[in-house]
Amino acid sequence: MKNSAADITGLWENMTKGNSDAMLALYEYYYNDLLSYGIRLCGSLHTAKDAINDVFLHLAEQHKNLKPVKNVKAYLFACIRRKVFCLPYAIDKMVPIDEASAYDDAETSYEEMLVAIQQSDDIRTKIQLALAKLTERQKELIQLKYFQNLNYRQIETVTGISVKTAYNTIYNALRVLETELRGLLFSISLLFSSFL
Amino acid sequence: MDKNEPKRIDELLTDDSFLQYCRGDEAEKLHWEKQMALDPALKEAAEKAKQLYELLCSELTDPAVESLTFRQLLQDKGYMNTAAPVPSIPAQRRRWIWAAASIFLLSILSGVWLYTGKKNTDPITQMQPGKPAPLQNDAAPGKNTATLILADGRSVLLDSTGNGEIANQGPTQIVKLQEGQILYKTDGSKTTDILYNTMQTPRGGQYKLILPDGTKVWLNAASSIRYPTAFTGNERRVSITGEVYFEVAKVSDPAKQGKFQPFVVEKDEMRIEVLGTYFNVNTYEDESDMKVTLLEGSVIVTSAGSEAPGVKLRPGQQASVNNTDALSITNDIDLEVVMAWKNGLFDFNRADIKAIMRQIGRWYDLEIIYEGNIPTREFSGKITRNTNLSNVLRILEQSNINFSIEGKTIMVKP
Repeated sequence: MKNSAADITGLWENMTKGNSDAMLALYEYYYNDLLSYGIRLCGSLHTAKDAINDVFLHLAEQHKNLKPVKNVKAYLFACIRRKVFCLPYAIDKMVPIDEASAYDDAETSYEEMLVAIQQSDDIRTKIQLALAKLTERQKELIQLKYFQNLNYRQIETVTGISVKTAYNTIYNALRVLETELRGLLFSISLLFSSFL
Repeated sequence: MDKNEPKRIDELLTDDSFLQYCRGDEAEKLHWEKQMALDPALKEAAEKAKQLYELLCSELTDPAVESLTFRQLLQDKGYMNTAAPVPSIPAQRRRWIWAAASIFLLSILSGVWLYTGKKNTDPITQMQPGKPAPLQNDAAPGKNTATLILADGRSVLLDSTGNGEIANQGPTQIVKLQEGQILYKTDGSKTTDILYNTMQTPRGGQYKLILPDGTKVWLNAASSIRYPTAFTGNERRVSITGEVYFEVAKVSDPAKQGKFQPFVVEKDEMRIEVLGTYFNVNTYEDESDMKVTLLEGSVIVTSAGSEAPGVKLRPGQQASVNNTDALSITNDIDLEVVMAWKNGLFDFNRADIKAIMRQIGRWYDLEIIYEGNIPTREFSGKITRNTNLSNVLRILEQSNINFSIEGKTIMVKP
């Protein structure tokens, strides 16, 4: 799925006119990017998910007052950052946010958001590449274990793969991921801890 | 420190206790924080393991599913007009829907039934546009209509009239969306009573329903589903009759520390246990076998009357349970044929006339009577379901099968 800049601008414009489908298209399009960024800021999947919903709910509420923005992704990243760190910001004040005020604090500038986006894209690409190194079976079990939150017994029930085999398959998959992502984990932990 | 405590990232991430900690379990959090305070090496590995866990989860998160939940949030807040949701479809599934849509268009434009040209298959020849219908009586196609039976026995007829809230059950609101679709909305408060509702379609009706957990359900004609208005237990359990297509939502309930709730479909002795997945179940009483067809994901089908243990289906496989409760699997099922009804088509692949007439009878609400020796030929082809009966029969008539309709009865003659 690749949307051109013009498509995104069009979706943004339609969203400001109250078109919820346009908003949901933007939501879906940027979801994984925003989630990955949010997790690196706060270290928690739940908090990051909540932040995304809060930001979009605010945009929905204020859709009539939204102005065109030159870089939708950078703007959304800045909103997520403000939400996660509870920075004094339009989201809490119920006033429209414009692009300038989104980046308007001592720590963030538009340029810094662009850097954050670049890092985020790099990390996601690396994770996708690492996941691509896994076998189908490994991917399926990783999905069940980490996304569906099944324990080994449940995995056995669902897939017919024995507890022992499932454990070994996941263990081997993680060794692959860890090897692939070792450098990445190191650099992320720096970014992450610098915000704590 | 405990010598048995794992330290490597991969060891941590295969440890259920550590994963519980990652998911926010308070008891595990205390345990792991204590361990980490004692062991800096463990702390470092645990922090990285947790990040790897979070990053994997974020990459595995399906935006389409999240946006469905968010749409609900938007609707509850009423910030934008979200009256007519068009749930988006994950990319993997788009292929066959597009294939079905293009064939659908083709058959409308050309007015022909395509035929596969296989041996022993009677090609259904081109329909003559403008040829007058030879039938004196006709029947309109089925509609989006169903009856919702509430826990207290009240029943609500759902048809093409008016959208909006149709009933209240405790903290749950039942809202009718666009034509042929309803949605359950809860205010988030805990329900103590489990209320069961039943949605049933008549012959000549179909309906779409979104269950309280976000699972999407399509009912074909003369079908039903019974389900609780809130899925609170260890399992999400529903029972069905007729033909139903499911798109089961992956539910990991934060109130239960993200534990996954299996989704279970029951029909008589047959039980289907499900993860987030897409599958069709055909259990019409007048068909010889009950059939479960998997499009995506995985399901386990068991038959209580069968000696054999349950079978796990792969996408593209079909499990059949026959009238002696025996369970068998068929590979490489033509999914377009199985899913045709949901895509608004009749699609037959080497079907005999009786199989075709059973579908026609259900959709046009007609009883079928056979006279004389009906040829045992097989037919293949597709046509839209959204057309009058006469247009469907006209094509069959060109293969020398005749029909006459009286009231709600259709007579089939050689």
